[in-house]
Amino acid sequence: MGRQEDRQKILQMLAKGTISVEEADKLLSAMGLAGAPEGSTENPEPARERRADPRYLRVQVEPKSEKGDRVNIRVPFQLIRAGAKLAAFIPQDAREKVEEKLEAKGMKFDLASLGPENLDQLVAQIGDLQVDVDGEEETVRIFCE
Amino acid sequence: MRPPVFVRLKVTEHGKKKASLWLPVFLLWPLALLLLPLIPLLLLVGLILSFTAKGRLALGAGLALASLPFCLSGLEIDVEEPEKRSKVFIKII
Repeated sequence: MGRQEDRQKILQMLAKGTISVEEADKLLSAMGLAGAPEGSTENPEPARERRADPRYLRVQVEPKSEKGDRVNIRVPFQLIRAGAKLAAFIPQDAREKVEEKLEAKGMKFDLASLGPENLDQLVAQIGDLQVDVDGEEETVRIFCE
Repeated sequence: MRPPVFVRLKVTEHGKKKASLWLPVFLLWPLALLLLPLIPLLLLVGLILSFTAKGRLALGAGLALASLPFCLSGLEIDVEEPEKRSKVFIKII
C-alpha cells in the first residue's frame, strides 16, 4: 500500500470517527506522513535514521550572502535538562509574566508543568526532530545528533 | 556527567588569529576539595532551609545551579562573520 493510500485511509478513519484527531496525528507522524508546519520546509527525503538517544541539539545558520553571520551551535541535552530543571524554580510572579509573554506570541505553555519525566519523554521523542527553514537571507537547520 | 576538562577558545579578527587557547579547567577541580570540610555545615544549612517552602525552593535552585557546570561538556559555539573574516569558536570539552 502506498503512502498516499495510507494517508487517505487514516483520514477516512478520522472522518468516520473511528479514531480521534490525536490518534490520527500519531499515526501520520509514525508513518512520516504528517504535514510540515507553516513557515517551514520539511525535508522531502525519507526521515534520517532515528537516533535512539540523541545527545546534542544542533542549530546551524548558513547565510546566503557574504553579509550574514554563519552560526553553528551544539547544545548537550543534559544542559537543556538542567536548564529546564532551573525553570521550575522561577518564582510564581516571574513565571506568570513569562507565560503571559509566551501566550501573547501564541505559545500557551505552563512552565510549572515541565517536570523531569516530561523532559525525558521529550528528549526520547525529539530524536526525529529536523527543522529546515529556507529564508531569503539564510538557511536555518535544527536537528538532533 | 563530568565537569569540563578543557575550554577551547579561538578568536579570529580580519583574518588574523587573536587568540587560540586551551584553558585547563581541570586544574580548578582540586578547589572542590576545599569544600569537603564544609559538607557538615552545608548539610545543616540544607536541613534548616528544608523546613520552609521558600527555603526548599532556594535549596532546590542551589542544587540545580551547582549541577549546571557538570552539564556543560560538549557545548560548542561557532560564530563566523565572513564579511569581516572574523570568527569566535568556543568548545567545552
